[in-house]
Amino acid sequence: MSQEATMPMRPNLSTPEDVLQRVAIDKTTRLPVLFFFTSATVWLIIATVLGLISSTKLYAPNFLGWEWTNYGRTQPAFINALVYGWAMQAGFGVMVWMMARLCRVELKNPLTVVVAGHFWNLGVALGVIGILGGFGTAAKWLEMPPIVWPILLVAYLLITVWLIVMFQARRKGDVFISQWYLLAACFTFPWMYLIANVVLNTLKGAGVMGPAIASWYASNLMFLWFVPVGLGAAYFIIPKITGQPIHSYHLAKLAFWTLLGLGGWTGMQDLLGGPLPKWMPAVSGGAQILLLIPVIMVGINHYKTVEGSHSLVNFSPALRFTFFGAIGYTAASAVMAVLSLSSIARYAQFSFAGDGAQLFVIYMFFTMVMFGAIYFIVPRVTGCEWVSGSRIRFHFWFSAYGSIALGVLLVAGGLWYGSSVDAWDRGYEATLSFSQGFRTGTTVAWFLILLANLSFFFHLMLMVMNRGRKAGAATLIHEPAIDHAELVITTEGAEAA
Amino acid sequence: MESLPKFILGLAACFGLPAFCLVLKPYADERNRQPVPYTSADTDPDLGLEVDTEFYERPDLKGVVYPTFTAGSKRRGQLVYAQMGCAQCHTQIIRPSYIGIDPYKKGWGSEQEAKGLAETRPSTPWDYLGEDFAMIGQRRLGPDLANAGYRFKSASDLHLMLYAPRTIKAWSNHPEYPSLYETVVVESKRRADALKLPAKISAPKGQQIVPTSDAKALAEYILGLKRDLPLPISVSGKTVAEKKAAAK
Repeated sequence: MSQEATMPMRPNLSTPEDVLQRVAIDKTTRLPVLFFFTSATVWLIIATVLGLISSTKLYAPNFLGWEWTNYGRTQPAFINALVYGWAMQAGFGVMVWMMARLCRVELKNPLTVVVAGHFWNLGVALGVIGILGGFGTAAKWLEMPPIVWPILLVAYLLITVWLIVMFQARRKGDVFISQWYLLAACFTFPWMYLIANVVLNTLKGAGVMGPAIASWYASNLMFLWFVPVGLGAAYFIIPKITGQPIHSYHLAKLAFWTLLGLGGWTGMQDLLGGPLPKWMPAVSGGAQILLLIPVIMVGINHYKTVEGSHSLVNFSPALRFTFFGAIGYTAASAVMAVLSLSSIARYAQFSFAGDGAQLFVIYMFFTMVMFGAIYFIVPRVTGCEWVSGSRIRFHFWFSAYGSIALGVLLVAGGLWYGSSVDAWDRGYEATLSFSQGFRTGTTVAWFLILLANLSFFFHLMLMVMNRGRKAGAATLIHEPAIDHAELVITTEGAEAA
Repeated sequence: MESLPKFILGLAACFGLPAFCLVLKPYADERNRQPVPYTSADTDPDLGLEVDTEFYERPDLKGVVYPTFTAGSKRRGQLVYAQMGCAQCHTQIIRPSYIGIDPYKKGWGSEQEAKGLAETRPSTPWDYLGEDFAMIGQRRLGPDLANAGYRFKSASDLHLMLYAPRTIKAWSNHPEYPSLYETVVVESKRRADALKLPAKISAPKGQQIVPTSDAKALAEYILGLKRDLPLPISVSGKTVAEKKAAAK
């Protein structure tokens, strides 16, 4: 990966009418998209700080002292802030912008979307403060106090209904694979969220099915929401920047339905050996392993689409983050499949290996893809370019090292810890000192991620406050060597200029 | 899949089948689960080692059902348990021996000392009967609490664990829960439930630290966690003949 690598030139095929139309569409999505991105990034900082605190609390229980910072509160507050505050909200921004662009229609009601977005933020804030204040529940990823879920559900519906409206009003022509992925995400979340919350918070009395349903929900959210939105974005960004069409559209469709068909069966392997009918965790574990099939299909497709243009990863921020995220998707699915094997689950179950696997999905895959999409989208809606390539480089490397370190430490440390718990006569003192190194390591990894995210936040703020570069070519991670100075990535950067 | 209605139909099929099979149907079954009475078959002496005859001959268990307690009486304590985030680090599940060492782990059953291969019974759905949400837990960063009721000798031991865990074990990483306790003035004499703390952290003279009602409910809940009652034959699913065959 040298800077001297040749940067292939792609012809810009857009007609002036196309460009004008895109500018008009981007004008309508500007407000909601920037609203979602900025508030999501604020939640990302909050989640990172909570993650830093909760990881520290495991080996320094008196750190910070306040009772609300105890691991039992900061850990669920962290995961809820990360999932609902950052990840889903960044996803909303990407969904709104991409759906409008792909359907080639303007967003008719940007204000409604922004108002619904405020309600979403209100719900997340109530939820996170409720957890920290001691009003949370024990259900995985649903720890928010029970009053919150109707707010989130209604806000979600008010945001996504406009995506469906845009889809129905789309210009004639083939529907692109990203549109199907984003559309699927519109429907899956309300279904799973409604079922899980009605059963756990309204009907109650689930007994042993309670934690099983919560695990099912968390896994469904990963594979039927994060994966579709992340892949939808990747399928858009990769061909856009490489200028090549998707390698096999047929394969993309097949992978889509395999994912949707299998995703709903996952999750219950969390309770392997638990007091459930034995077939339930077995089916979930099997589905988790079969999910490697769409992963391979998508991987081949993405790889083939980038083939010949790999050097672009050196220059384009959007492509580099997206490419990292696409690899993260493969890695995350492989880790999840391995942890589902019963011989491994013996140690992984109930240790922090599961947290590591989740962070593979949410951070190494989804978050990185969202960063890529944000680097692509924000110049288009603000009309100015990212201020500094070296700042993007800093963000990338600290995020990449931080998230890899975090995921690997949690998974490896979790397995090690689990094997220590699984020794029949070993006391907890030995087990704790056994895993001390891993715990300290996770704090360092969180610190790297915090630095990366703070840097990203300030960069994004400059863009939102219209302080980006007003003229010139797109901001690249590295400036191409002198010989290639005349080459630019024509699909990168603001098209308004 | 070129039209929206067809697409939604496809999605609904993809999603509806697992939602029904993995969530809705098992949930309905769980709601219908009933306590199981012990029958005379459970005390059949011919069963040999598999039945703890001493247990069934206890007069207070004649004609009772399994499980013997109802979740309702422990509901408030369980709510505090959930809100404090205990389930983030503590499990309440004994996995069968094919998936983990749990049944043999020292201190996780009624037997607190190691005694060879005495197995703690793996958990069954009846152990969580009537609970709104079984506290199976997300992680095992602390010891399993399925049989925690045997571990604490008294409520005051447990309160000390919640208020000042490192006075019991200096290496413990257990969090402290000061909000569950309050400092009150000693009136005529110290309250019986006042915490007995080392001089370094005890309350100022003339004052005492006592558990709030939430702390008492939590303690009652945790001290009641004893999930090792022998299973009625109708639950273990084995007929007398099968058990006899298995014993041979």
